[in-house]
Amino acid sequence: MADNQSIEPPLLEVNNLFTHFDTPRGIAHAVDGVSFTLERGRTLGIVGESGSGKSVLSRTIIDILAKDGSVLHEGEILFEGRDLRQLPEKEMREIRGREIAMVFQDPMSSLNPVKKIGKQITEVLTKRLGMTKQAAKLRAAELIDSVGIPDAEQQLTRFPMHLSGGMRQRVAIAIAMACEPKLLIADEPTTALDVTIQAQILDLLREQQRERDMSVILITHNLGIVSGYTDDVAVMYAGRIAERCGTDELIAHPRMPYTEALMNSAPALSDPPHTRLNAIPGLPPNLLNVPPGCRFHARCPYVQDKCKSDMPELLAEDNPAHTFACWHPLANGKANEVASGGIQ
Amino acid sequence: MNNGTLLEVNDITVEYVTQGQRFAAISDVTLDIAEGETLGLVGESGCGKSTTGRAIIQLPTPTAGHVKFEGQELTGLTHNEMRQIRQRLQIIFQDPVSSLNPRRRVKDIVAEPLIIAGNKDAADIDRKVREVLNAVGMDPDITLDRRPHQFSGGQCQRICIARALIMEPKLIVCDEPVSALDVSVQAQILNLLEDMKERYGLTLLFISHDLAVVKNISDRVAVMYLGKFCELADSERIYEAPAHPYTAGLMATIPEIGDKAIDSGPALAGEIPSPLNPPSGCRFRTRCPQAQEKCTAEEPAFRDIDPGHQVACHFPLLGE
Repeated sequence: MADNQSIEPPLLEVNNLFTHFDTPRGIAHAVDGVSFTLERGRTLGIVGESGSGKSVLSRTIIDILAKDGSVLHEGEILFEGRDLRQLPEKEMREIRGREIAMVFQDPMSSLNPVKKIGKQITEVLTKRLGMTKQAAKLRAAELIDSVGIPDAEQQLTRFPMHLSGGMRQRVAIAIAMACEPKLLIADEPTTALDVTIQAQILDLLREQQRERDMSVILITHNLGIVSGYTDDVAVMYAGRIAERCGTDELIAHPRMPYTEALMNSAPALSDPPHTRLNAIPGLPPNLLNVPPGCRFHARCPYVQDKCKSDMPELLAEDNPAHTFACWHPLANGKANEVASGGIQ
Repeated sequence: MNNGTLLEVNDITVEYVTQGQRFAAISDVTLDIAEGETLGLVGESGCGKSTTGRAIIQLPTPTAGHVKFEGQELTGLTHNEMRQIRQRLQIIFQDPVSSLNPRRRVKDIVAEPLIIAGNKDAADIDRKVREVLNAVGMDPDITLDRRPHQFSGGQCQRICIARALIMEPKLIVCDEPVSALDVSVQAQILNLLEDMKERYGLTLLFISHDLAVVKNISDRVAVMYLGKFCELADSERIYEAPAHPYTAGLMATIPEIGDKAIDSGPALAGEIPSPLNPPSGCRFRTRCPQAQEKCTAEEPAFRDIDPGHQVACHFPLLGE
């Protein structure tokens, strides 16, 4: 790829992306007009609750959703300036795994249970990079070692079931790293793991990212993880991005009421016991039948008439790097004041 | 919190046999819960927290030790006697969807405990079902004739809570009741549990792997590791001044909103050892940053370091 710094396009640019599922009960608007860019070497957190479209978005980017006509797409996915959606499957296969790798939530189901760990890694190296078996074996041991698995050589001869969840996720990361991808998409990589192991895996991902100057999209439902491990964040709600900015900025000055509500609903370790939680009333909208106007309006404490009829676009106000989709955003800088009295 | 002890658990051990080998899922667990109290039980997968919760309601009866509920010993009871007691000793589970029978209507699901208990008065059953559904925030007129798949996870958990409440229990064992739920819904259910506790005078044993959730709901918190208690104290205290290195490590690894990318401390190294072959001495020593020779040789007793604060460590952390 061109190393011409002056006119280099961003690593990933997603423009007005739609992914709809044609289901027997109607069209599910899983991703509904999403745009964002990701620069090289940055970590973007995509945060949202179940059904917000965050996983479908990532699967759309690497194009692993069903191709039987039940999935409808629209929009552009520019990876280093090339639109992935226009590439023939053969070229896309070259990019998937090699340029863009993915780590999934459940490491047991993403590894082949009847193949030895070593085989699963060397396969990538011989088939994708054309290494000889001998070289691949050495490289596999190096990779296993680099993700913090002890006794690398010996581990290569074991099956996934012999490893703990945390170790399996390390193997999945080693496989993802095998081709030195430019972009890693990690979809809830620690949700199935215990907290102490979660911290180890997140530290490992960060270490790998820094060493390789790789970009990462970290998909999670946990704002605490976003807070500690990402540079930028996009908050998704019902298939759309509700707010997008630098992570520190989001935590300090959320503008979209949903972001604020999400932050306030999680119990904090610093609160005394029996602190009443600020639950968000109601449920996320049904994606088969999305409401008109702002998708959060039915649960929003600040809702006004306009919110029920007109859909807000993702726009910036005074800070161009901070965009949000809201007609009545929280005042800049006084989020906490509003928060304490706002949501019941 | 007040008065009498509702539940007394003394030195319970639960053993299983796997691949011809006996191993203890929990050993020598001792705890008591006062009437009206919420005791939180926290730990990572495989630490024995669910086994402890289940052993209390005799599912299965512990291999050794005693469980006293309202002064009555439960371990020797027959199936029928236990069935009577269970009316006052309910449990709710992690996955609300799989703990509801998908083929039955909500009204039958919620009424079932009453019917098992021998209530034959249809009007009384209907009245009680409506009352508990109202209490958990579900409109009976809409919900009674529906089936579980027509509800979200959070709503199914409300139905599970209604089913547990209908017998007016004294104690509810809550086994990871909010782990399968999104944070916004999780907050709704935690608030609901607090409300129900007040309204029905409940005592809770709240099991979770999430320390922030446990702190929010509990009066006291017990931390388990590899089948044993390592620390027990008031929830405020255990979070402010954890004395066991494991508790401290666990707390340091929780990602919190507002954490800066740079300041996350070192994660606890290593993984939980196999319970089939626990380390000698202190079970946490293989991962403990403070481990010394004594920790390998000698198992630390679970002892008081302050009134109401117990810890199983030779070298407890004592303040800053």
